[in-house]
This record gives sequence, structure tokens and C-alpha cells, in this order.
Amino acid sequence: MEHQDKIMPRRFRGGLKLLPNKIQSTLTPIRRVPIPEKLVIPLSQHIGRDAVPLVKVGDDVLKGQPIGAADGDVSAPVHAPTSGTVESIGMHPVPHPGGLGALCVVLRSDGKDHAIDTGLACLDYLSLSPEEIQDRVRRSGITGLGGASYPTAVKMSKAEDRGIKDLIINAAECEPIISCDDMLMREHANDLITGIQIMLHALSAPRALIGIERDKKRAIDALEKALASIGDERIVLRKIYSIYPAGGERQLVQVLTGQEVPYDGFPQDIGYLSQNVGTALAIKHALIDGQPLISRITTVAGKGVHLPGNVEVRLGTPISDLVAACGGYCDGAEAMLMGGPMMGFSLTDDQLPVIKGTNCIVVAGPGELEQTDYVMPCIRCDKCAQVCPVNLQPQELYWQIKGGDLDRANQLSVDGCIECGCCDYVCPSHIPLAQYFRYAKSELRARDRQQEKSQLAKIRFEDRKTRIRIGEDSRQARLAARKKRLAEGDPQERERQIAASVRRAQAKTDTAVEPDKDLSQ
Amino acid sequence: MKFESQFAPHITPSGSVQRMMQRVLKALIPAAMAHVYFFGPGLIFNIAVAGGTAIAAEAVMLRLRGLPLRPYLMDFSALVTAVLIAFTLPPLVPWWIPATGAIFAIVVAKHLYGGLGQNPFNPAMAAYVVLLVSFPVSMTSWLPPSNVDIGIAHPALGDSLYYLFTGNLPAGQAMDTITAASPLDVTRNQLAEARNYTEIKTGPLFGNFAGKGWEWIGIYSAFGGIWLLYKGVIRWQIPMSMLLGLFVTATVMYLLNPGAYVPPGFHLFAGAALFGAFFIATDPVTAPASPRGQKIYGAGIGILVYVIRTWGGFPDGVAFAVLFMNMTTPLIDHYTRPRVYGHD
Ligand code: SF4
Ligand code: SF4
Repeated sequence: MEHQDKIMPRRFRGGLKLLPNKIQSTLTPIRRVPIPEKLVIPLSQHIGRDAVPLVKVGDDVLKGQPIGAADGDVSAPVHAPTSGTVESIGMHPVPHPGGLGALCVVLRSDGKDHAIDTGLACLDYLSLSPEEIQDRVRRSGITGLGGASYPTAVKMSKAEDRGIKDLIINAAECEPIISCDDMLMREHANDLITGIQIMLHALSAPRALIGIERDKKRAIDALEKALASIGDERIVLRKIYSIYPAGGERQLVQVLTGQEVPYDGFPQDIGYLSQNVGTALAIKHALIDGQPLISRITTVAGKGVHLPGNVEVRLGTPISDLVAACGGYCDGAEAMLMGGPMMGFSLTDDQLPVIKGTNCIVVAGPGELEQTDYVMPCIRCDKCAQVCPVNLQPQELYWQIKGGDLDRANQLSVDGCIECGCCDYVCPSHIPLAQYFRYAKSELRARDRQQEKSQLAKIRFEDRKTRIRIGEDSRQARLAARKKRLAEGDPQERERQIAASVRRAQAKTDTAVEPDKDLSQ
Repeated sequence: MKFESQFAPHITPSGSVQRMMQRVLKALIPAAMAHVYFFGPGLIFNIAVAGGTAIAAEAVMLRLRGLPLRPYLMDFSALVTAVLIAFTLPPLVPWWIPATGAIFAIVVAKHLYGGLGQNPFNPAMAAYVVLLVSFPVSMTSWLPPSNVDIGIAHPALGDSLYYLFTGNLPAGQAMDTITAASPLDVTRNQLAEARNYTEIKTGPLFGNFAGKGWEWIGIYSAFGGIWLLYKGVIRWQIPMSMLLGLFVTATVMYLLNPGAYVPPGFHLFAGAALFGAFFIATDPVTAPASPRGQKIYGAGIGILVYVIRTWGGFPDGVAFAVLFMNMTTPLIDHYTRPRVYGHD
């Protein structure tokens, strides 16, 4: 255990010191939300292609039974969070920044919570090959639980192919209010370490670095105790400063290793794989307890809820049940967010289901999440550039995007924006900068896709031309061959030819109209 | 339960243009008090006239441009411009000088270029230069500071007001009997007569560091400026590099020929150097954005101030240096853009 007491240098520029506002939700242990009567389970809870339904209306399912299968390489299966009957399969609103709906399986719980044998558990994971573990992780439907929801197995197998120097465990929950990882570490430190060990094995990686903010004292204590009792030299705890967004994947890699992830690549490209603590715990649940990803820990906080705290909740549970488990709404609850106040998005309805990426629900009380009043012009004060953790010049990007010059914004690397919102927070003109950058990024992506499409169309067109040419060539080749055979005096061929031309000639005379009209003129 | 939807981030922003400008105004108080102490209440009159005109001009321009009055008038930026103009004026000027300055700054230098945040030139400095060219005599007639004993008494309050409103002193008093050349002018003229600074410094206008009175206004501006730094309204790069640019250039020249040039300390405390470093050059709208760019920009201003003071024909170099460097801002911005994370 090296440098346990040293704090890593901060290494990235900018960022913000924000009020953590996490105490309120860390005073009580993690509560359980009762299993609801009806669960709405979206088939797309991850980045990549939606899962395809495996069940029909009226089917009885058991807890842990797959109800949606991964579709293609980048996708993840979905499992029944409890036992019951499939009531319907159809479009339902889901938590999504754009407020879109998705195909969902609606499950009526039978209250028995009978589990299926998933075949995921394994007495000795060391006896499994890395590929087998990755396969079980894939079958467990585990996605990054920090919020991004990228299928974990896909990330792991890509990383293992390339060779990993360090597995990076992201325990830096840097956004204000969110405390689910903190509570998870306090209460499940041993299981978490087991999960990390499994991942090390599955990645054939020599070392794991846990990056944790130094002010999470109780979580650090719990992890240190667990590490001491398990005694695994490969797992190292690294304390970092609490600066938002130190928990951003790229920022954490930078803080822990001193290296920058290439703008067009992933940490895997430089030998690091980063995973959230929740993901590590989910891997333990899958490989040791045989439980696929059907529940998660979620923070419920904000001034709009009576007893803020963390809850363990089955996926598919309506958010209103979480609020109820936390004492219900206070008077004047004003707004609801999924995620933290910096990067989260607002929800318009508390009947939406909890999904794999639901790390936090903020219920804002009166005036808690004050929105920008009047947007003033940019005064070029440069405060945004001072806090941008990736060194962008937000004022310049804003200027270009506002003027409609997306190409210039692209040249100025708007795609490098991690949408952390630091620039928004400090902008004295209250310009919704990150909103502009989100817009520009999605426009540019859409344009790329469009370009790809027309590229594809062009290729198809070229292909068709080639095919036609090939067709012509072969037709000519056939003709030539036939001529040759004729010239060579193949008698059968000659007969066939003569018969054919006679037939053709007859056909012509039969259909010809007024054949001598031409002659009369 | 249903909720309204809103954009991220969902956190109250940390500041506002209004607060920034209010802080700039507060930070000007020490320098203003020193100014009044040494030059009488003229500054207050000038602030009142320039401020009133600026706000009126701002309101008219906002109306014409179809912009809402409230948020823009409440941002105090017009008032800051007006106060900065007032600081550049001699204490005793007729009312149309601050008024013209304010109108030019707000209407031409600010709104005709697109309003808040769009103007390439510092409006207060642009106004100062226009006034200097249009009213050269009034703009260079300074009262001697009150602690200088050369037998000139400041006019009485009533007489000052009379002058402010009419442009004339009451019968029997002449402007040129109550004004004195500024220390920077004196120094330049006398250096031209081949006297060296040690001699010049013994004149009645000179104090510990530079001109009597002036040096203290500079020092009090620096106090205000340091408070702005502390509050994060301005950053250290521009003031620091501007003062360093001035100091280093002055030191080099002085070491080359101590007889012909003024020591560097004088330059720092003379004229508007300190005031300009903290309150003029730091105007964010017209300065480069990156820290590296700001250092280049500041150093450029410092060097130009020295050049204009030493070889140019104007009383002080700050306004011209700032305006000149304003022109280079887009260029500096272009060449000093920082490397983005993950890019080579
Ligand atoms: S913080 Fe806002 S006002 Fe300041 S430069 Fe950035 S965008 Fe412009
Ligand atoms: S939102 Fe983008 S531009 Fe703004 S500070 Fe974060 S990374 Fe920089």
C-alpha cells in the first residue's frame, strides 16, 4: 500500500469548488424501497442498441430472468427485477434528457419475489477465464452505474484486448448532492473490493487504483479497513482533492496517472480502464451471488423531500415510490432532476421508472434550483475559460455557435467539451453555455451521420455502376464466346443459332404492323 | 406529480455582470477620495455629469436598438464607463466636456459597435482621446495638487460650480493663473532642456515617488485594484505584466543613460500608470481572453506607455497604449489559444 496518506496533485486546470451538499443524504443508512405492484422496465437503459423483448404479454417471469436480449455488440440485456406477470409491452415515457419514450416491459409483481437460477454465480471466479467472466458480465446486463450507462462488458473486452496497466475505480463522486457511491462504499466496502478483484482478473490487469475524494472520510475508513482485512496488494487507494469535475472519467485518469486521454479516444487507448464503484459492486453481485443488474442505489435529496437519503431500489420502480420512501414531498417541491445539479436533467413526471443510470433524484424546494434570469451579452470576462477543465475557450465557442459557424466550433474542438457546466456556473452574463455546446455537439454528430449516409449512398452508386459494367463485360464475353463457337463450326451450336434466329424473325413478322408502309413511301 | 422542465446546470450562478460592475465602482472609491483630497470636488461634479449623461445615452440607445432597459441599465456598465471618464478629466472643466465624453463613449464607442461586450475599443479611453483632441486646452489644465505650495489656491466651491456650468471663471480670475503643468509634462520639457531627473525632482511638484498628489491617487487605485483581484473580478496577469513592462523598459533605458531618462520608480507612480493597470487595461471586453494573451497584452501596454511618455507628444501614454493594444486583441487571442485537453 503505497502513498496512502498523500493526496494526488490536482493536475487538471480549472474546475470548481462547490458546496458538496451531501451531508443531508448520508445521515441515515441505505433504505430499501418496497417492491412496487407494477414495474415499468425500459428495454433501452444503456448506450447502444435497445434490447429486444424476450417475453410476451401474459408470460410469468421470475426475478433475474432475462426479459430483453442484447441486440448486437454494443447493447445489454434487461432482467425482471422481481417475479410476476408481463402485463403489457409498449411505449412509455422514460427518464431521458430529451423527454423521449421507449419500449418498455410492464411487469405486475406477484409479491413473491421468486428468483430464477441465472447460472451467473461461480464458486471460484479464478477458475474462469477472463473471457468467461466478461461473458457473464455481459449476460448480467451490467452497465456503467456512474450515469453514462455504457455496457460494461463491451468496455472490458475492448480493454482486455489492448492490455491494461491500471484499472481505475472511480469513487470520486464530485457532483454536489449525489452520495450513492459514498454510501455504497461505507456499507459494502468488502463486496466492492471483491468486485474489483474479479475485474482485475477479468482484465488480466496488474493493479487497481481507487480514486476517492479526500473529504469522504467515512468511505475511506471503510475501504481501508476492507483492504486491510482482504490484504490485496494490487488494490491501491488514492486520495484526490475535491474539485468538480475530478470524477469525470478523463479528469480522474489525468489526476491519477498524469496522462491525458486523446481527444478522439478512450482511456483504454492509453492503458487504463475506468469503472465506477457501483459497477464493481454489480459485478460482485453477478459473479458471486448470481444476481444480474436488477437494482441499484440511488440518492434522493433536495429541499423538496422530507427525509433525504439513499435507497436501494429495483429498476422499473416509479420515482414517486422513492420519494415516498424518503418521507414524501415537502410543500413547494418545485422541480425534479435525475442526476446532480450540474449535469443532471429535469424530469417532468414522478411516474417515470428508475433505470440503470438513475444515480440521483433531486427534488428541489422553493428557490433551490434558481434558473437563469435574463441572459446578458458575453462580456469576454474569461471566467468560463478559467474554469474549463479541458482548456476550451467557451466564450469563443459560444460566439461561433451563436453565429451559426459550427465548422469553426468544430475546429475549436467543441467535441472535447465534457458538458460539466463549470462555465455556466461562473458566467456573470448567465449564458447557458453548456446548452449551446450540447446543441453543437449533437448537430455535428448528426451532420457526420448524414455525411456517412451520403458517403454510403455514393459507395452504393459506385457499386451499382461497377456491377453494371461487370454485367456488360460478361455479356460481351458470352457473345464473343458464342461467335467463336460458331466460327469453330460447332454443328449443334450452329443449329441452335439458326433455330433461334428463325424464331426471332417469325416473332418480328407476327408482331409487325403494316410492314409495307415503309416501302410505299 | 408533474414538474416544469429546465436546463442544466441547475445551480444558481456564482455572480452577475451587475455584481462585477458594482465591485469595480466600489474599488474606485479610495482613488476617488484621494482625488478629491488633492484636487477638490471637481471629480464628483464630473462623475455626476458624465454618469447622468451616460445613463441617459444608454437608455436612448437601448430603446433604439429595441433592447429591454431594465437588465441593461441595471448592469452598471454605463456608470463604470462614466466614472472612468471622469477620472481622466482635469478637476475643473465645463460641463459639456464630461457630457460629450459620456455620449461619445456610450453612443459611438459602445453601442455603434454592438453594445455591451462587442466594442473593440475601451469606451472610456476612446472618449478621453476624442476630448483631448477636441478640447486640448481644457483637457490639460490641471489645478496643482492641494499639498503643492506654489502660491496657487484652489478656487472656491461656488467659483468651481460657476466654471462647471459656464466654462468661465467669475470676473477677475483667469484659468491660467490657477493651473499648473503636470509632473509628467514638466519632466519631459525639462529633460528636453538637458536637465537631469535629480535636478528636476527638486521642483515643488515632485513628491516621494513621482508627482505630489498623483502618486497617492496611484497608490489608492492600487488598493482598490488589489481588492478586485482578491474578489476575482480581475486577474493578475494584465496589471502585473503592464507594470512590469513599464518598469523593465524604464529600467533598461535608465541604466543605459541615467542622465537622459527618468528612473523606473517615477514611471510606475506617475500619471495614470497604476490607475490604468488596474482599472483600464483590465476591461475584459477589449482585452485578450487567455492568461498568456493577457500577459502579452499587458506588457505591450506597459512598453507603449513608456514609449509615448518618453518620445511622444502627449501628456500621458496610458489611453493611447490601451487603444493601440485593443487593436491587437483579436490577433493575440488567435495565437494564444490554449491547447485543449487530449489534443497534441
Ligand atoms: S463567463 Fe460568460 S461573459 Fe464571461 S467570457 Fe465566458 S461566456 Fe462571456
Ligand atoms: S461545459 Fe464544456 S466548455 Fe464548459 S467548462 Fe465544462 S468542458 Fe468546458
